[in-house]
Amino acid sequence: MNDALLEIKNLKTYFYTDEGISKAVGGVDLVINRGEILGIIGESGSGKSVTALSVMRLVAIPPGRIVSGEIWFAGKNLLEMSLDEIRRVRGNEISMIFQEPMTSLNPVLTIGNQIIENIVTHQKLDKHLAREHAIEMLKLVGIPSPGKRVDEYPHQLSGGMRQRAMIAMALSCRPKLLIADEPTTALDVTIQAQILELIRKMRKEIGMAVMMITHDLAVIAEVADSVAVAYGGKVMEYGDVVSIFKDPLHPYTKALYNSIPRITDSKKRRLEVINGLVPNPLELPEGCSFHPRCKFVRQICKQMDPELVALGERRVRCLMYDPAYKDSFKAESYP
Amino acid sequence: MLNYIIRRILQSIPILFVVLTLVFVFVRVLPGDPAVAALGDYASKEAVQALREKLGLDVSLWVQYFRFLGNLFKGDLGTSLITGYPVAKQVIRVLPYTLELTVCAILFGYILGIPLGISAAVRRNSFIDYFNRVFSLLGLSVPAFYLGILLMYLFSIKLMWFPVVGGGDLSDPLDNLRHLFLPGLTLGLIMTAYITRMTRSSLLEILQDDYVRTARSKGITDRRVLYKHALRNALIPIVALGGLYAVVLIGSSVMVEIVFSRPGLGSLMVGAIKQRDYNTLQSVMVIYAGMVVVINLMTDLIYGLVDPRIKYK
Repeated sequence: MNDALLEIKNLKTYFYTDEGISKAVGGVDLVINRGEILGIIGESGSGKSVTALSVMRLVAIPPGRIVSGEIWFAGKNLLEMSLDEIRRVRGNEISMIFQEPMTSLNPVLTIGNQIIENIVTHQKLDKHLAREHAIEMLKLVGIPSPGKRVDEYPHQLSGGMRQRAMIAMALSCRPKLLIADEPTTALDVTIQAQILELIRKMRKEIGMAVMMITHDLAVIAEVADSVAVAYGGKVMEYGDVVSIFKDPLHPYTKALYNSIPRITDSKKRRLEVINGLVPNPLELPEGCSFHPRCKFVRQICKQMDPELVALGERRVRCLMYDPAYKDSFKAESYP
Repeated sequence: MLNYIIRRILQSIPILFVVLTLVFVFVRVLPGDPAVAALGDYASKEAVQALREKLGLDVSLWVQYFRFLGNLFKGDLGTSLITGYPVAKQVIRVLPYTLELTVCAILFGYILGIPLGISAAVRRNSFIDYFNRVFSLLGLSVPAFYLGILLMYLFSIKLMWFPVVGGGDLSDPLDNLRHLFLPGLTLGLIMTAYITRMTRSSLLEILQDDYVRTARSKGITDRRVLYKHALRNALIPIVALGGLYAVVLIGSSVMVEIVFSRPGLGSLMVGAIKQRDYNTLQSVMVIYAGMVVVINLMTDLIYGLVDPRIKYK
């Protein structure tokens, strides 16, 4: 654990809206080691994007506010930094790429202009050298004829190429951490695979860590080293990717896992669905936020909000694994 | 680019043609007769008839219409039915006054409106935002002639800083500017109200866009995010609607010219309506229509400068 690059402790980010307080992130704990790809998986509204934006301090204030917690990055607490300090981290040590490559690049500026801006903001390079560097980055992410593309506008590029350009921009200062917020969701499957491959390749090249946010289990299986399962603004389960896929512990992870079809399935197996909807962060249920949809729910789940329990290297937020409450889940206590 | 401009100008010919026809019809649908207007109510029938013949009003409407189009095609605007002077001369005399007034108002609107709109959008719901909103709502709802009278009362009659009426001497820039100031301010404030409102709402919308978030994630300063990334995009609708408002402004300029008794196309037009001076009225309308066409063309050209997604072929 001493290799931790980013450590999030009990992060709470709330939005103060007219309808009430929306607890988008309600106490997230996470660790990303140097060079590691951590996948954060969750449905929309599970707080995964807001967690990422909190790391970058890009949550709109107001209505949002980071209520409590610590985000340690390379020995410094990002939440205690001044605006000037956090600006030196953004785009330099931590970069971010977004879901929509169509709308995430500025339509009236050339690709080159946008990459060069990132470079000269953080490095003392003159415009000419920065341009050379931008072309080099475009080449590195596999954009053909980068010398020509550098002067083109986003609308002249295809979706996949735009996302490559985004990645070139994000990696232009060789960040230690890349936050990828659903980078492949808006792309078709072939391009999706290429982009994931690119992210993996760039990780090797630059040696950065990646926080990969997605709602797609396949993406996680493809690239992640470890996985955090987000639900209702909290991390429900955390562990390395192999053990989580082999042996999901949390009822939510199990349910997610059972909801994807397998190539080995017999024709008779019905896909399982998770009944109900993701809870509204404005009115999270009492107790465990997953209890209304949980197959193993007990009376105690409706009252107690479970802690993250350590099981070896893994962490689970479920009373089933909490030594103090384990007994309630014995077979005979099924209702 | 040049091709595009030429094509646009050619395309505007049918528009002008339709405008001409409508003007010709509407002018003649109006009750009243230029000959009666010129000679007075007590003129004899014979005298009126003689004048009608002299003015070419005795022939059928069709003949009049084609005569009018034919002359216009030759570049001849005809002579005033009332004064007998060539209309072209009159128009050339007053056109600079109208042009300086509208150009001044449009520039004033942009130069003042864009910074005001930015400050309102950036400090949303602050005092300056509320002030701007009240100001622009007033600007949108107060009629030009009323605002003109108020300004005239304050600056010309009470403070006596500026002349009350007239257009000033074109050959004397200082005198001309003194006369231009109040009418220009009247129209300029209205234009400012439009531009402020539009800048504010356009910028507020764009500040929510994904690429603004991307720009912030690069660690550049908020100033740079605003001026380089957000404003460049906000300018696109400002230019597009700005052209539309400039056209509305030409309408208001007629009122302002009347209020300040300024020479100009507006005054010329209203005089021509009163006296049923068909030739002058038609010519002025054609020139107004031409101005609208030119403003629209310029809007489209500027649009292409601010938005790289637009290509002229």
